[in-house]
Formats: sequence, C-alpha cells, structure tokens
Amino acid sequence: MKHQRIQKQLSAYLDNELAPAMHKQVDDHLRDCQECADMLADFKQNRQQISQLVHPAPSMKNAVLAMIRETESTPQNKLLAIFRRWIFRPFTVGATAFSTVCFVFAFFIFTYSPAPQYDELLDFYFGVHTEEVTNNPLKSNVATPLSNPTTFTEDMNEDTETLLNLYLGE
Amino acid sequence: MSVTTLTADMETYSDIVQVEDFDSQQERELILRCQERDTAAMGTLVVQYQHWVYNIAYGILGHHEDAQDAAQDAFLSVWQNINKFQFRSQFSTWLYRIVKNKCLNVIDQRKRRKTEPMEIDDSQPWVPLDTVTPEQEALRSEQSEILHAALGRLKESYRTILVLRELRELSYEEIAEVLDCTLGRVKSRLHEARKALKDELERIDW
Repeated sequence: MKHQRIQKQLSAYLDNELAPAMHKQVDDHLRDCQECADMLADFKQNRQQISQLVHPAPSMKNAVLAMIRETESTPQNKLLAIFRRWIFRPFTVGATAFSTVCFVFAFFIFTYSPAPQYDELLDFYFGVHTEEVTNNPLKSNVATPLSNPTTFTEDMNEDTETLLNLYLGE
Repeated sequence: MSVTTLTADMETYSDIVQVEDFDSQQERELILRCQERDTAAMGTLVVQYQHWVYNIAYGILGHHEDAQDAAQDAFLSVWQNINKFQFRSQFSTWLYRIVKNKCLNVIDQRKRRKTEPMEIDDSQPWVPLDTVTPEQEALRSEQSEILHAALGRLKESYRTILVLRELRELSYEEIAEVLDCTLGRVKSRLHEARKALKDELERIDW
C-alpha cells in the first residue's frame, strides 16, 4: 500500500515538487525498493531524451505577417479591427458599463407602477371586483363587446348563457 | 540591446539561445506596440517565440507541416486577440495555451478526416546543441525516432504535458495555467504520462 502511494509521488519527486517530509519519505523508500528506483531512473532518462527533441523552427515571420495582412485587407475586417481596438479601450469599457447601468435604472424608473394598496378588506374586494368587471367583456358595460348584444348573443352557447344569468341573478 | 537589433539578430535559427535573453520589459514594450497594431512589433514577437511555439506544436502533433501550420495559426490568433492580454499572466503561458488549442484543433480535424493520429515526420534535422560525431548523431537520430513513435502512441493530453514539462521545462504552475487545471491535476497527470511513456518505450524495446 505504501509502495503504491510512494510510487505515485516519484514524478513530483523528480521535479522537486514535494514537501520536505514527503520528499524524505520517498528518499527512504528508494533505498529499499528497487522497482521504484528503476522507475525513477527511467523517468530521468526519458526526460533527458525528450529535452533533446528540439528541431530548428522554420522562419515564420514573413508567413505570419502575410496572414495578418491578408485577414485585415478586406473592408469588413478592417472595420472589425477598428471596432476591437475601440471596444477594448478602458474608457470605452467604463462608458459602456455606465450607460448600461443608466439605461437599466431609467427603464425601471419609467416602467415602475406600484401595486394598488388597500387599507381595508372591503376596499380590496371593491378593487378586485372593479378590475374583474372592467376586464371581463361578459360583465362590463364599459368595454365594447356588450355594446353589440346581437353578435354576442349569436355566439353565446347555452352553458355560457346559463352561467351569465346565474351570475346576474336573473 | 534594442528591440530592433534583437529582431535582426534573431532572424536566423542559430540564435535560439538568445530567446532566453529577451527581458520582460522589452517583451512588455512589444506587446503594447502590438496592441497599438504595430505589425513590426508582432514580427519581432514571432521571431522571439517561433522556436518554442514550433517545437511544442511539433511535440504534440509529431508532424512538421501540421506543426508549422498550428504555430502560424497561433501567432495569427495572438495578433487578433492581443488586446485581450492584460498582463495578468506571463505572455509565454498565454501563447502556449493558444498553441495547445490550435494543436487540439488539428487533432480534431485529423479525427474527422480519419487519418493516422501521428504520422512520424522526422525529416527535420537535429539542432546541433553540442559538437557530436557522425556516429553519435546517427544514434541520436534513431533514438529520436523511437521516442517520437512512443510519444505518438500516447494520449494527446499525456503528450502535451510531457512536451510542456520535459521539452519546454515549464513549472507546475505554468503548466496548470496553460492546461487550465489544478496543480494536483498537473502532478497526477504528469506521473501518469511519464509512466505511460515508459511502458510504451518498453513495448517498442527501447
């Protein structure tokens, strides 16, 4: 169990990334465990081999600059580049944030309408009743639908008529 | 050393060692000039970083042409997004992250085309880091082929972390930033990757 735990630390041990106490534990373990010592030796050797896997890089300066010129040569990209430059300026970011906050604040101020406050229970019922009657074409004589009773009666089915009569107490 | 002189000096491949001499103040100056859309400054940055960008891409992709394309695409992305770089991290780690993403794109494209995951293209000559005899050179070339073959059989995530750590020698913190993961994850994945490479090399009879 300890062997497995220590073995998992070998990589960090190789890179000197272990805490001193753990580093010492690994040191002690390596003296007794040939398997871990071999693994560490392999890690070291592979690290050295990979560090030598360096290839000469081809010169990319001209190619990259040509790509940049190409991408920025179209009018759209030119505009986009100008926009990017503009949008990332600190002043632009600040101004945009400030405008957004102002807009949101103004929106709430101008669209806010407080809910009706009722002092008494009776006021509440009157309020609700008024809203219900005003917004309901079947009950209201303020809205338009009842001003044309002929059409209304034609469209009305029996159930609706019964319910309406019941409600109006007829 | 001025930026202009440095650019002229770094035009040739043999100046790769000078890359390390490029100080952070000069780099910052170049990045600021790039943010002002100065293409000459971008050219200097390309010369400055092309060696490692190419080699990281080559390590991940294992193919010269693909690595070159990925590296050039990465530089183009740097130019297009340079205004997003706010100096909160090192420029190199930001750049390597872009390179890694470009390499992942290439790997995705390969999968869609259903081509071989790693076509070993070791046609590029070795960098003469030191004076070696022809025999040593031949042996080194053979070793590199085997190592490339073993790397090519690893998972992409293992290849990437090995290249960043063993080839570019990034710290665990830098790797975590490039790979966008935790330090603990870097530690465990690096161990898994080293173990997988060891097993793969044993399989090829290293």
